[in-house]
Formats: sequence, structure tokens, C-alpha cells
Amino acid sequence: MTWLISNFWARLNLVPRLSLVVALGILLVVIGAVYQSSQHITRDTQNELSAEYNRQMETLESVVLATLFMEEKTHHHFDLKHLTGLLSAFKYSADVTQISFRDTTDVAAFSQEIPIQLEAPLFFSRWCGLENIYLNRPIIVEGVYYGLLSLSMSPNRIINQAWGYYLYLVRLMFLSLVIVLFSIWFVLRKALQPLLSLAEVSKILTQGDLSVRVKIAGSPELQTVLLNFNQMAASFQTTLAALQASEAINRTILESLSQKIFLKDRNSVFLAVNKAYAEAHGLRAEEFVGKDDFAFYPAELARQYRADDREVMESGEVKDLEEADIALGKGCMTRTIKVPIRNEAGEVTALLGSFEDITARKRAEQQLAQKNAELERFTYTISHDLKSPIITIKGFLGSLVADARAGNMERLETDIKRIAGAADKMQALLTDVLELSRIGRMVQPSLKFSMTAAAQDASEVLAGTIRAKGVKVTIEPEMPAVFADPHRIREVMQNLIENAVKYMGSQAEPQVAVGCRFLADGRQAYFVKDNGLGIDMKFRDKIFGLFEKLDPHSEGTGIGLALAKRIIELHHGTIWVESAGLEQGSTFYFTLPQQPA
Amino acid sequence: MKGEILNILLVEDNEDHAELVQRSLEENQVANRIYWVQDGEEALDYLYQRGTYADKTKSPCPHLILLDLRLPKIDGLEVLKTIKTDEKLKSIPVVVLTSSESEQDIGKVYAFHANSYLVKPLDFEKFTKLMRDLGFYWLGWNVNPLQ
Repeated sequence: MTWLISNFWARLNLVPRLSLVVALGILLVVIGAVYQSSQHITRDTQNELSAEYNRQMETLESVVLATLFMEEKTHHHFDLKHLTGLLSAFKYSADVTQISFRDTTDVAAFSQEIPIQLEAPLFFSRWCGLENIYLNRPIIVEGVYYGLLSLSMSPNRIINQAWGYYLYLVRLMFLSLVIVLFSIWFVLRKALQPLLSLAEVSKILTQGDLSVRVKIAGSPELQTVLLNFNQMAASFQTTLAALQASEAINRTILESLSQKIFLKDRNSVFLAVNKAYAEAHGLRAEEFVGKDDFAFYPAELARQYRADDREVMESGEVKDLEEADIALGKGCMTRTIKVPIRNEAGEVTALLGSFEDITARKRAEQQLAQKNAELERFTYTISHDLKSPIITIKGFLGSLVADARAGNMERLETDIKRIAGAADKMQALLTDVLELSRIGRMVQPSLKFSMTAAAQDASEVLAGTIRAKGVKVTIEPEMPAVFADPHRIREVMQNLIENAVKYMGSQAEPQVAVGCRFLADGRQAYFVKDNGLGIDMKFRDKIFGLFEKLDPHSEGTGIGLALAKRIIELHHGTIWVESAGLEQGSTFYFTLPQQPA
Repeated sequence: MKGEILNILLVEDNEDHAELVQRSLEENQVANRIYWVQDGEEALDYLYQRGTYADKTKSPCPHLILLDLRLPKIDGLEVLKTIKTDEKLKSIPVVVLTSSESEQDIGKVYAFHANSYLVKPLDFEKFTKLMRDLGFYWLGWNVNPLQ
């Protein structure tokens, strides 16, 4: 039973609980009040009943006495017939149930019963505490006893009346109780409904749906509270939407960056990585979360990373490293930036890192530095070498003028020759510079072509010089084909063959051989070999310099080998010379890519 | 002027420029003898009296070296460095005479302890004036460490 009640109670909401408690309270008060008032009523009724009885007895006594005196003047005796008539006709009080009169002979002269049915239940009658009243009154006239008058009265009528009243009261009470209960329920419901809806809405809000709002109802204070609540929810929704938008932007930025980005906690455990980072490892981003560097890198590297992380988090300073990356491969460089992330209190809570493969950039930087150095050398050489003929021209012009004034015509012709020679030199230099710059600009698409044919073409161009010097040129048939700019490679061939012929010296049987051979490292090298002057190997690099000539008296500006070197290098090949020494002949080698670039 | 003939080693690959230097010095009547070599290797051969320069009477030790920077085989800077790091040669005054006005060259040349850096003037008059002044200064006023 107790369990049933507590179970029932537990299932009730706030409104029914309150309603029930209030109703029970009212019920108790009413029962108390009824009990209290019924005690008074009982006492009063009993008193009234006694008084009524006395009055009735007085009246009856006089009635009985009247019959005695009216019939017998001298001898008193009762006229029974008359008495019976009178008693029967007498209008009794409503509560009288029995009347009788006995004379001295104890013969009942008159007896009448008027039963009053008890309509109320027995418990009610007992509860009322009213009793029947019996009373006898002897009729004595002048000391002579004539008989006994008995009267019996019942409280039944009153009890019946009270029962009826009681029933009415109880009904009324229940009705009012129901009304009260309903009113309480209604009022509480009205008052509490907004709060309940607030509870419901706040529950939905915490579940993540920020679009729900509370219906504004209830008392003005409550309405203010609900209004504020709704405004708060709206502000949350706006803020959340803004946050989500910003988060989406940040995510897109992170995902679209080519840098590999990761976020680690204080213990160097990955919190998140971006797509580029995950893809670089051939994994999905989720696979990193919750793991540390040891799960993905060799132990040595992981320890290094961890030490770097700790340094950044302890010092709170950004670390920007450019280092060789053994994970990426030999010769690879990465740039790693590690940034400490702080909370509002300024404590380092996490670490944001990004890394980037800068191998290509580093290589480009090196190439650029190389190009710049080359350009600097080039301008230096040009300015110096172009200035030389001007000094000659202006110097000898000045000398000519001075000689002319002095009438000295001895050196006239040689000076003019010098001037003309310097002008020619200048023209030749300018032509060569132009040629050199043109090579730098124009790189024709690579074609597959026969080196043998290129060498043959070159020697045909030089046929006049070759014949004049009586040089025997042999070209290896069916040399391996190359992918290059045929026109430029023919130029290289021409320069090398021309050089070989030019520096033949006093060789009795001058020979030039063009061919191809495999080097020790497996590369294929084309060569132009002569049996001429040869080269001191300490000048092996200098001879490829722009306008460099070992012999100032030789023809040309000294651009041939510089040009050849430039062409070969533009094709990503190499060119070099080998010679056993002076008078030992020399061999120029060059390599070219066998595959299209 | 001490009335003695002073020897100049001219290291110059450009024949015309060598002629200009010689002519200017002659016109200024600076008493001297010019020994002309055309590249760096030859210059060092001369100074160390190697090969064709073994004869000390034909190729005496110079009182002054006029050195061009851009030279075949071994360039001027290398020659300068060799001279100035050699105990016997480093006291010989070296005047760099070049057409280069590059700051880099000037810096390097002085770093290697050259005694002077002169830029070849374009104008003939200036050229002759420079040579005259050069002659007076180095061969006249300057006290030479050699006996």
C-alpha cells in the first residue's frame, strides 16, 4: 500500500501534486469544522427536545385534568370515553411516539403509538447521541391519585432531518471541493505552464536545436523572464551560426592550404591534422587523432619532433626551422613552423605546427643564386671587354692628333690599323654577346636527331678551313640519337671542331675525331678529339669563360667554348675537356639527355 | 730622380693598351725600361725568372709592376696574390691598371695589398697625364725598397 502510494506520487507532475495537497488540506479543515459544529448542534437539540417534552406534558396534564372535572362534580372520576376522545384528538408534538394513561386499577384507559421511522443510518443516529425520552406523570388532584400519564418521545425525526441536512452538506462540500480542486489545478496550470514549457525548450536547446523558442505567457514577471530567455537563445543561435560560419571558413582554409598542418596537445598527441598533412602520409586525417609522432615516424625523428614541441611549449616562442627531411627523401628540405597556442590565462595548452616541402624552392633559390652570379660575371666581363677597344680607339686617336700636329707621320698607318682593329673587335664582341643572349632566351623544343648528321653538317660548314689546314676529320657513323635542339647542338659541334682545327699547332698529320663513348659512370658522352696543341689542365675551367683566350694572339673573341658550355648547360648536360698536356692533343666531351626532358 | 734607369714590368694582354702605356711613358720622358708580358703565367715566370726569363740581365727585377686584372691563363688578382704573399716579391710596388671600375675588384685588389688602383682613362690626354704622373710619383718621388 505504501509502495503503491509512493509509486503513484512519484509519477505525478508538480501541478497534480500541489492540487492534491491543497485539496487534502481543505478536506481535513472541513471535516474538523463539521465535527466541531455537530457537537454543539447535538447538545442544543437534546436540550430543545427536553424543553419540548416538558411543554407537551404540561399541556397533556391540563387536558387530562379537564376531563376529570368536567364530568363529575361531586365524585371525581374520569370520563374515559371523553378522555380517550380528547387524547386521540389531541394534536401532539411531532416527536411524540407513544402516549398512555392508566387509572388506579392499572387498566390502561388509553394507549396510542405513533411510530417515527428512523431514516438515517444507525451509525449516524448513534453518532448524533440523541436518545428517546420516557416520562410518567402521576395525576394527583387534592392529594388523590387518579392515574399515570406516560409520554414517550423519539429524536428520530430530528435525526432524519439532520441526516438530510448532513447529506446536503456533504454533497455541497464535495461539489465545492471539486470546484476548488479544479480551480487550483487550472490556476497552477496557467501559472506553471510557461515554466514547464521553459523546461521543455531548455532541454531541446541543450540537445543542440537552437531554433526553438518559449511561448510568452504567464504573469508579467514570468513573461520578462521568458522574453530574456528567448533573447538569450536567439543570441546563442546567432553566435553559434557565426561561429559555425567562421569554423567552416577556417576549415576550408586549412584544407585548401598546401602546407601540412597539425594540432597537438601538451603531450604532443595529435588533436587534428589537415588534409594535406594526412595525404602526405597516405592516411586519413582521423587516423592521427589521439596518436603521437612515434606511431608515424622513425623513433629518432619522433624524439626530435617531441623535443622541438617541448621547447616551443616551454619557451612559449615560435620555432621556425628549415631542415633536411629524411622522411621525405635524400636532399629534401622542409620548413617547419611550430606555434604555441595559449588559453585566456596565457598558459600554453596546445601546439600548432605546419610544414611545407621547400625542396623545390631551395633548389630554385640555388639556381637563382647561380644565375645571378653568372649574370654578374657576364655583365662584368662585357663591360670590361667592351671598354677595352674604346680605350684603344680613343687612345690612338689622341696619339694620331698629337702626331699630326707635330707633323710626325711615321706611325700614322699602324695607328689607323690599330683603331680599325679595335672597332672590328668591338663589333665582333657585340655580335657574340648578342648571340650568347639569344641562346639564353631561345630554347627550341627538343627533337630526336642524329648526332652523326649534326657532326657532318658542322664539318661541312667548316670544310674550307679544314681543307686549308689539311686536317683529317673522321666522324663515327650511327652515333646514338639525342633529344635536344638540333640547331644549337650543331653549333656546339661546329665550335668544338673549329677549335680543334684552330689549335692544331705544327702537327704534321692533323686529325680530328668525332664520336661517342660510355663513361665509367654509365653515361654516354660525345667527344671531339684532336692531336693538336693540347691544354694545360690547370686552365680546364678558365677556357670555358666568356671572352677568355689562353693565347691573346689567336683569332676570335674567345666566345666559342663559352657558347658551347651555355648551350650544353641549357640542355642539362655537362661539357669538359681532357688533355694529357701541351702538344698532347685534347678531347672535349659533352653529355646530353638521352630521353626527352 | 736618381739618374738611374728604372725597370717597369707591364702585365697587359692587350697589345694596343701596352703600346699606349709605353708611348705615354716615353713622351713624358720618364727614364725607364719597360718589360712587357702578356698574361699572368708569363708575369710569374718573369718574376721567378723561369723559362725564357731565366737570364737576369735580360729580365731584371722590376722597380714597379703595372698589372692588368683581366689576363689570359692566370688572372691579375691571382698574380697580385702570389706577389704579395711572396717574401722576396711583396716589397715591389704593384699598381693595378685596369679598365674595370667594379667596387668588388677595387676591394679585392686592396685586400691583396696592391699599392695603387688606377682606372685606364678613355681619353688619350688623360691617359698620357696619368702615365706621366705615375712615372714621376713611383719612379721619382717614391723611395724604392730595392737597391
